[in-house]
Amino acid sequence: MKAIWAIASVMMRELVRKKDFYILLIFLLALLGFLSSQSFFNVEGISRYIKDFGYSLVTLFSFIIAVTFTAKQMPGELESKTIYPLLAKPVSRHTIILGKFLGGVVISSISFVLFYGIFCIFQWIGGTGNSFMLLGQGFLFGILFLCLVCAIAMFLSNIMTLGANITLSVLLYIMISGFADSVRDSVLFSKGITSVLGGIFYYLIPHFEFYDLRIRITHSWDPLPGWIVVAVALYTCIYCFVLIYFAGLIFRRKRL
Amino acid sequence: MNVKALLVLFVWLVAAAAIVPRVDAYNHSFLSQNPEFDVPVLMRMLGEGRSILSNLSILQADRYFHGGVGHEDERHQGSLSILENETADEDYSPVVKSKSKVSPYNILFRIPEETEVTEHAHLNGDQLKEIVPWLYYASEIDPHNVRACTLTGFYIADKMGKVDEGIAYLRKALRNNPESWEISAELGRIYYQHEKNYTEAERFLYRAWLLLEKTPHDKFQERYVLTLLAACYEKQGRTKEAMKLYEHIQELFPDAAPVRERIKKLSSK
Repeated sequence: MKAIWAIASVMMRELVRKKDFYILLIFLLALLGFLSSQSFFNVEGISRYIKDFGYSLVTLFSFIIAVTFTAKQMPGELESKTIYPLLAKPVSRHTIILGKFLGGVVISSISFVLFYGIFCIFQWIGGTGNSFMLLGQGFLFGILFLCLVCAIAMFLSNIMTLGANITLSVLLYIMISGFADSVRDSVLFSKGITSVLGGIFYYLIPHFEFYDLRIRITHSWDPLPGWIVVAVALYTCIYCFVLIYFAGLIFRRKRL
Repeated sequence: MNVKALLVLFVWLVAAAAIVPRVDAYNHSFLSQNPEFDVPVLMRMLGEGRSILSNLSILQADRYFHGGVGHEDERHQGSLSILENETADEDYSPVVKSKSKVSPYNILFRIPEETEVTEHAHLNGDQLKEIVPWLYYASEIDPHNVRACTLTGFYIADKMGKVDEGIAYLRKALRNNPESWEISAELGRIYYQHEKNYTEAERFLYRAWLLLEKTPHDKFQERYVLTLLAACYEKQGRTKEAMKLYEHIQELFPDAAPVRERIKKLSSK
């Protein structure tokens, strides 16, 4: 555990050192400030579109941090050859992968906490806050989403280059968020072998759309039932565990 | 070398000082004669994509009207419900979630079913303001999207009660679309219904009628403009002119009882 934490803490220092996070933070503040100051024909109290844009921006910016920071870990270590002193220490390769993954999760979660906090403050100032339950679910789902993103980026960083990893992660996010519902419907309405293969495919893809509470938060719908929250949390844990386990296996067999 | 560079810079500055005011003056005169080209650079770069984006913005307004849930065709006869001006806020029945076809153990298939918001709800009263930004963006992205302009005008003036802002907005829209009978008619309607300024209403409605005659249209559109125009004449005590219009409407709709009664009432005066 100590070794995992040591590897993760090195990554956390990176967040403070690098400018990516500050730029996104300033960008978020500027955009939310701009959106809040917009006036539409002197109609007062318009809030939903700020929540809509705000939540989307928070998710997008945290996703960027999660992907870029996690994806560059392994290639960075290999390129600068800092992986060798690390391997010389009494830590297994699985521990290194787990430490890097945890570092990615902590970094993106810290960013998410700040971004989400700013989003909530803007809601509070505008006097259009959501129920604490829904905001809490939004927060929890945000963290779970980042865990999944980090696990995917960490897994891919073992089998492809940095550029390919980032591109594929972004593409996966866009495609699955946009088309998972269509895949689901086509599987449900198909029969025979198509249904079986479609079902397997549906179970294998990472379901980013599970974590999207944008519509609920924007339009202040009711919070999700408890069992859904538990199911999504379990799904994330299992998916991350499998990905990190295989990432460790691949890394262990790698000739360095 | 430095002297040469300074000389080039000097010549460049003199040339710029001579050319820029002329280009600026040309731009101003061109845009004042062709207001339809007075669009921000970014929007110009989008080209025809502006029209698509503008319509997407209207669709988004419709989604907001339904509390973020996708539009249901069967409940609105395939049209957008924000276009149904007199939508009764309560004339819909809540959706009863049908029993799931998915096995309860097929968890990944069940999650989206449970998380999806399916309730059919309409924004009403003060909540309607939430769709205004999307209507605003629709008309800002494509100032020639007449539907976006009339819809925005309707929501500002009628639903938000901001009549002055609605009129100012529609006047600007009319400057961008001088040939649009729809915007003229909308302005005329607002002047008639909200401002009770029958002279201005008549001016815009008459203009709308003239423009309508020049474009392919159906008799329902003609009836809409003429009914309002006839009402304006009536309010101004110009019974003969109103009568002529009602007779014209009756030619279009021979079985329309209310028009027949109106004519009878006016002729008995």
